[in-house]
Amino acid sequence: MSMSPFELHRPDDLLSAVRLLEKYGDDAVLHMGGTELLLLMKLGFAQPGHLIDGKRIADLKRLEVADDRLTIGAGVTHRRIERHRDIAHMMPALVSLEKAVANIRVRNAGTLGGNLCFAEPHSDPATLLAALDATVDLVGPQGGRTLPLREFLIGAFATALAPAEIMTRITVPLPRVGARVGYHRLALKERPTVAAAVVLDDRRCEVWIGALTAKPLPVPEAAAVLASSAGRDVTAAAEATRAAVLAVDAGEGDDYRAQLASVMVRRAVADAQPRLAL
Amino acid sequence: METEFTLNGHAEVVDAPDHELLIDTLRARMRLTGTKRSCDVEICGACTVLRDGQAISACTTLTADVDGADVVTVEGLADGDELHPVQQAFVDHSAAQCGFCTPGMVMSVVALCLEYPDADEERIKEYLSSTLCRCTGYVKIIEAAQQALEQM
Amino acid sequence: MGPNEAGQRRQRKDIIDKVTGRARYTSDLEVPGMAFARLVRSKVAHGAIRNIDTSAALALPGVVCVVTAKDFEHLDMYYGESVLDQPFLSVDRVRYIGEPFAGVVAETQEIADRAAELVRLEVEELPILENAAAAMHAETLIHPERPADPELANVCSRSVFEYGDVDRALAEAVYVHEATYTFPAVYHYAMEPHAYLAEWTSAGLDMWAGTQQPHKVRADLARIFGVPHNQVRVRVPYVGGGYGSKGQAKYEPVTAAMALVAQRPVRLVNSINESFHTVIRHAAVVTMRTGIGADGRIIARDSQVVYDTGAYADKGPRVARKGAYRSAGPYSIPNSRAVGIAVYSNRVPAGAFRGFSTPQVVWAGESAVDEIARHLKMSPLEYRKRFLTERGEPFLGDDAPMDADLPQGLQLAADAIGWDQPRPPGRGRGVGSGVKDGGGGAARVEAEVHLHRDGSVEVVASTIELGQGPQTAYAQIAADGLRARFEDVRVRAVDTWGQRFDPGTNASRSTISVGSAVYDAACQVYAQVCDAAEQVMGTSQDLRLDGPDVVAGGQRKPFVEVLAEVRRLQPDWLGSVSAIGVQDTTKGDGPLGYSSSFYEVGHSAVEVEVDPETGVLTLVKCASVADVGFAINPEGCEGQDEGSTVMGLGHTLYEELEFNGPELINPSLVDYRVPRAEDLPHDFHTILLENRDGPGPFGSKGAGEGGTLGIAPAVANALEDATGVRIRDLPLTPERVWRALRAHEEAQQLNIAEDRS
Repeated sequence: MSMSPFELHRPDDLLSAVRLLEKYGDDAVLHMGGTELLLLMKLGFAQPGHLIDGKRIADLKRLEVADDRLTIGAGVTHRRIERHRDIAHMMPALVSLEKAVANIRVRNAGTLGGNLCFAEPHSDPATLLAALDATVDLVGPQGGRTLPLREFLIGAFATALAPAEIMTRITVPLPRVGARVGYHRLALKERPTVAAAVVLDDRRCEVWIGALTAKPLPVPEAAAVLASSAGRDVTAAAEATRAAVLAVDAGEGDDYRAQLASVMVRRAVADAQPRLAL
Repeated sequence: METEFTLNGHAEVVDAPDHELLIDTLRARMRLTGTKRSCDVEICGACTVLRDGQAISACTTLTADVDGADVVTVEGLADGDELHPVQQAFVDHSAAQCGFCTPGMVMSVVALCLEYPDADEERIKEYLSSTLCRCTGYVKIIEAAQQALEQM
Repeated sequence: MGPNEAGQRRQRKDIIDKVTGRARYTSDLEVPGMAFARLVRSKVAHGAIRNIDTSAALALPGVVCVVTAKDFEHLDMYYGESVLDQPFLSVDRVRYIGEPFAGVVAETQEIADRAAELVRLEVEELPILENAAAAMHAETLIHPERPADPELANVCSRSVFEYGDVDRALAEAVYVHEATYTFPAVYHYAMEPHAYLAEWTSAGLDMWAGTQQPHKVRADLARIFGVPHNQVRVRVPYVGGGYGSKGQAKYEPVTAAMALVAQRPVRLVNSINESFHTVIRHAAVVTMRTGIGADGRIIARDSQVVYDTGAYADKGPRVARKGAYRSAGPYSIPNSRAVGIAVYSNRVPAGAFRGFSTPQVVWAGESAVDEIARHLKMSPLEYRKRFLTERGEPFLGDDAPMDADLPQGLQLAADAIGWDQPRPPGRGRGVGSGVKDGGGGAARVEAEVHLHRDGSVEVVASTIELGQGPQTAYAQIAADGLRARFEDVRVRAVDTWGQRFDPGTNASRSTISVGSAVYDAACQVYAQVCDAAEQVMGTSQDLRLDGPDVVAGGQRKPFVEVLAEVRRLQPDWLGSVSAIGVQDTTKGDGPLGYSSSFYEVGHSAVEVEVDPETGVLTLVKCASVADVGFAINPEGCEGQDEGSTVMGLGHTLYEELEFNGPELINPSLVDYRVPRAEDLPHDFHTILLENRDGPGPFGSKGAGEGGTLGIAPAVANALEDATGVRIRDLPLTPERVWRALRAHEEAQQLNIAEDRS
């Protein structure tokens, strides 16, 4: 597995990075931890002539924890989130999720932004962050814009990222203090087989299923059941999830996958922990 | 591109093509063959090295990406004939068989000791699940990790 | 005199090299002027070759040569263990996806890799026989030149073992159990991919290879290249795992062929993806009929085992033969018929893999016996203990008598998981026992021991250090034979040039065969030293070697002085006292053509917990008993058994090569999951049973494969114990378990409904 040659560029700031991406167009790609990009390149699935290394751009590495939101630079590694004490305190579900991503080496190098931009259907973070309605900030030749992650993710390995655009940060609005957030996944092989993320708040609930479909799948019927029962009617939510998965997935083994999704929802609810104040 | 880094305590400057991977720099260029290539998809951990104290897969790291970093490979652990406590623990517990995973496994245990000095058996198993061994069934590796944690 | 060094904890001789990264494997080697190779592999499963276009690859700067079968028309390109059906590069057909049809040699690995992508294969596609089931009834023949089987198509080999009168016994049986069990194709995943380095010199061929059978490789290379054996040298550095995947010739011939054309040393190191496409364990379908007599005894067994051997025979015929033979064990069954069929298909070739066809038949046999015991309302443990072959009883009709106490071992495993303790709700327990006739028969092997003037000892023995620890065990054996110190003994790495013959490092055979030869040689050297000591010191009482000194009868004298005096040597003599030890086990005429040298026994006992919602099966407790006779290196024996149990856990719960038609779709660790540290049960015991009843030094037996035998049926039996569900297909994936649980539940509800109506 040898890689095709390329030229590595190391811009120190965002604007230079965007300009380089603009200059080389389709032949350039942003390079962060490399855990997914380099793998693809080694397998011959991508052969860019230019890699624009974003790791020297300080803006991409900022991580801020506020009362109502997490602002995570796209270049922050999984491991930094996993080991962040304040995040562990406020959002334990995010930390336990990060702990499950791939393996320690991948988490030490790989970044949250890279994970989301790669849009691998089995992404762990995408499911929970979609449930939390995170937004992503993008900067490109035409300036900046902010998109909900739910819109940013288009399909398997497909995002709304425009040419020469860079994801700069992920903003995770935190549910109010006391709301519960849970994530549960089952991985029968290297990558998760099925995952569920739930947000349980008085006024609004979210239920999202990951890894089964090209991008995280919302289950509003299950969310509605949970919202109307103050998070108690887990059985109905699980059944709603089963029905939703069966409806989108007519492939072989669908009843098992629907079963797993319904179980993951129940366990995510059981695992859900209250979001605490900073 | 020139990459300046510290390798096993020594300053190095490597002038390698931009696309060269750390595993090839170590094995082919520096002739440090302790770092092994097995799965080549950053799952098995045979190519584990430390970058600034953190375990990474050399098979999926650009050499250029260790610029300015402190890199330690299995060759950099022992002080002459004096083994590193993790290496000694592997010796004491016969925690190697074919030995092909051993350098990566030793580096993973070193990283574990640095990160979680109080790790219990569950934590050890969870941590070492990032690194594969096909010979030992892991039992003696886990015992070695326990000894290393006690001694470090 | 009993053993002194053997039986002790001793630091592995190879471990300092291995923990420091200094251990050199073939994939680490470089020689001056070396070029790098990559094989070009077929993307077509079955086709007649029309053309191979190498021009674009040859035009790439840095490419040294591109070879195809056309370059070797003057050679006999075929190799194989029992059937020479595999050319080292495709000759006129390709028969599986991944088959090498060309080789590229270049100045760097990167150039070789890139050039390999530029070689084009044009074929006329032939009908694809995607597996054994399809191939057995097909009109197309994968190897038309091979003799036809009277019943089925594409049969690579058919073996039949029969004794007693099976049909009559089945007719007389009070109960006949019949079931079909399937075992998946799995991959060894030796962590070092296949690796070779070849160089032609004026003296012949120099080959460094990660092989388990250097003498077999030497013979194949000599035949293929038409050179005498003394012009082929095969050296084996450390090998990064084998488990059978590096037996017989693999890519040694093609590497030597590329070096011949390149006129340079050439190194070939596979990627893991390529090694996935080199050799795998046979998928098997085992159909068993078992007849039970009035007293519950098994009076007859009729087995048919179909092994999918893939595109080439490799060791398939022997796997099928031995698997069939072992399908009646480990019980004492008076009437047995076993048929083993290896069938060609357009899949990756299958060959040797730890356990060598036994895990497949033990999976069936030990599942069946559990089902039978339950049918008879007997405890599965007590049923087994009652009918297991007894010590001293002839095995499988008329093979060598059983040399182990099987019920004792099984009880030890059961005790270790608390078999008699109350069972926690939702959990189940199961056992499984496997017996494999051990290797080490049918060969005369030799080893050398040299005692140098300074008291250091060199052992020369052709056993490969694959991780199983012969360098350490042989040093212990030699130290005991010589009454020398362990630290003074060194065991050389294997080199066919000048080293003694051994058929191969496989079949758990080394310790009892080569190890015995080492002991014999050491004892001969010891006798020579005693003889000299008596002449010079007037005594050999309690003689031992203490570094450079001979110590006997209360005296101490440098060994070299003793020897110089007796043999009238100059004091500056630099020689050694040497001996050649022999182990000859060629005698015997058991069913396999020789008598089993020992029986490798593995007992597994497990406690499992099942998550009914997901089907995830968790091993709570696991115990394995390895009947090793005598543990020369106890930690080494434990490590081998732990590793083999966990490897067996792989095919039990996780591992399965998945095919889309003939195409292997998970040839990567991303989609092929092997056991990890987190999969170990907290309660995991390995017990060494040491009755000193083996043929090896100090009563030792072979070990290292037993753990793979009983684990899968033990888990499936525990699953039934926990849930009432019987699954006859491996691996026991969560989806498979969940579906079985659901079907079981539906059937029960149906029964209740029927009862009510």
